[in-house]
Amino acid sequence: MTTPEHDPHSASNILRRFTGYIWLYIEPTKPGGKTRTTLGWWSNRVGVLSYALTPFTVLLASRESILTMLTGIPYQHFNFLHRWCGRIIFAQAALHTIGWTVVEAYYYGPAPDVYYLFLTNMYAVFGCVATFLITFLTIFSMKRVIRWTGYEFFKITHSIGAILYIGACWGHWDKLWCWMVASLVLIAIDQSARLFKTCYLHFGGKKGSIGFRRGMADVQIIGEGDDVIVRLDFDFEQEAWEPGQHFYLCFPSLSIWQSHPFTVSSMPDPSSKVQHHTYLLRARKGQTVHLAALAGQTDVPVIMTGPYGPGWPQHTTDNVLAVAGGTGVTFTLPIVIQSLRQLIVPQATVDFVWVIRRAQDLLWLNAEFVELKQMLASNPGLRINIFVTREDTPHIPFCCNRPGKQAQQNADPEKGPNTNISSTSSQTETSNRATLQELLAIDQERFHVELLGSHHPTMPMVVTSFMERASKRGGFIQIVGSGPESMGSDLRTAISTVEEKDGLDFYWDSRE
Amino acid sequence: MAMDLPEGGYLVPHWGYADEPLPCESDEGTCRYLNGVYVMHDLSMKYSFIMWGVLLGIAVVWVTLRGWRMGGPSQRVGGVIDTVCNSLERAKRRWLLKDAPLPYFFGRTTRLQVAILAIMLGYLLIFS
Repeated sequence: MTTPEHDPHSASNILRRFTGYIWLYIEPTKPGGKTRTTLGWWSNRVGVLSYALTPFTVLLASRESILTMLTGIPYQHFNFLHRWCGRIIFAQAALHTIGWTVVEAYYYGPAPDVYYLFLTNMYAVFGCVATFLITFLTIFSMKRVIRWTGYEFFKITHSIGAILYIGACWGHWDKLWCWMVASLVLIAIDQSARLFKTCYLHFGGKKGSIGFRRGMADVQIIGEGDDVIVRLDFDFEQEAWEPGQHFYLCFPSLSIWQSHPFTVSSMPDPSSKVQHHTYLLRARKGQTVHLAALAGQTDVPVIMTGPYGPGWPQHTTDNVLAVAGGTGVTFTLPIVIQSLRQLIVPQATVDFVWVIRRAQDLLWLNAEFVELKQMLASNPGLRINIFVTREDTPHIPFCCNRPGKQAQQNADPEKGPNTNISSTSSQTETSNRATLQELLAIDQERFHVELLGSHHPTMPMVVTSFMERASKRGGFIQIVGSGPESMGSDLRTAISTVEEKDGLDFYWDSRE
Repeated sequence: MAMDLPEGGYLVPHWGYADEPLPCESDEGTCRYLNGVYVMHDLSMKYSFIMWGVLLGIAVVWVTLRGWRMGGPSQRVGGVIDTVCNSLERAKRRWLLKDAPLPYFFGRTTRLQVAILAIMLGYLLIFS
């Protein structure tokens, strides 16, 4: 059927029959008439496939992901495929448009009258609009362009553009509405589930009090120079999440159009009605910089959606290696503490590795870190390795904010982080110094601080050292990590060469 | 295709396309061309359903295996399916966990992601 004159038994013909491949075939022009080609057939094939791909692409983008529910794979991992499916649809749309343009403007005579007439069809107009929209979506979701337009612009235009694109596709070829309805339904499910999750958290609460409750965060800046982070603290009445999970935080006083995922670094307490949230954000660009400008305020409203992501530990704790770089510690620290609390066999090998730029970074989470350090005594399998990559001697910050009162907490880490900030800078400096010295003190076996000056620890070394001890003991191995993506690459490469007998699970909490 | 139905003619429905008026009363070339449009469209629909069939099939197998492995009694551990799954996981870790080539093109991602993309692209290229 595809082309008339060919040997039906030739290899290329058999392949063509199987795949329905369409060769470009041109029938000679008849005077005044249309030149018939197979280009239109092929353009339609590409168009139909792009329609079928649309709901799948939407599915890959959802946060309340049906795919995650079914497969257990975290929703972030589908983002790569979502982006590429979008690009494939763009390519298909472009080829379909070019194909029909060539057919109508070149092969169908008399040109250009036939083409102009064709363009007056409603479906042709919708087709052009859809092609324009998918081009817009593709260009404005490129990383470089987002850097230029800003995240907020991307977020608003990407969802509105996608809905308009789906609508335009429906208008273009309404006989294939099934794919477009499916796509719109999937978007609706995702969005309403997000809204429901937000409302579930923020409405209600205490008996008798109805209405929207917001979290009121206490904002601090910790660190100085090239190493500044924003720490958020607030209490909120809600059910406990699981260690390692994250929330999407929206700061309505900055913008209601943005929300970003942050892993909670404080420990959830299933026995309590009120949970304490602690977040660490690196003040780099965009909203985090505006947030840093609010430092010192104790009532910055926060709206949360979540929790998202798998909870940990996922297996009966045997051996755990947790590797964190910088603020990635918000993911690993609660997992390690929880694993140690649930430990059945106290000899289990648990390595907590934290790569930080400067020694002062230990002040970020000092109460939780003190708790972890104290666990060394009761857990002979626990090791803590701190690698400082930009200092050869610990430097105590002079300026800045002020985990002031936290110095006093060290005496009583049970209380959890204190959110009250009030101390003069000289007091702060003294208490910072004292706290940091206490945190750095090598007063326990299996606690190491290495000041590397200007290089990074090698991941194969970290993994090998852990594997030696873990395999000697045997049992399931759980490796978790979070931090810069380059560190994730190194860690993945190191783990790919590991030999184990009793099973190994690896999870990298990607921040991109 | 907006032509009046000839006497004794009938419409053949095609999913996702306009109904096909038969018998064709134009000249032979036009009829052959129009017939081709319908045949190729039906084939396109078939390929898109096969694509979804494969996707749903993978989902069903995945969910079944996952439920089976999570919910089963402990004697399932060490069984044939369990062993196969474990060695697949080892193979994945060994070969597909590393960074994919061409980071400036794909970004920093695993070989697994790029391999899945390649399979999808392969399907779409062959069938279009």
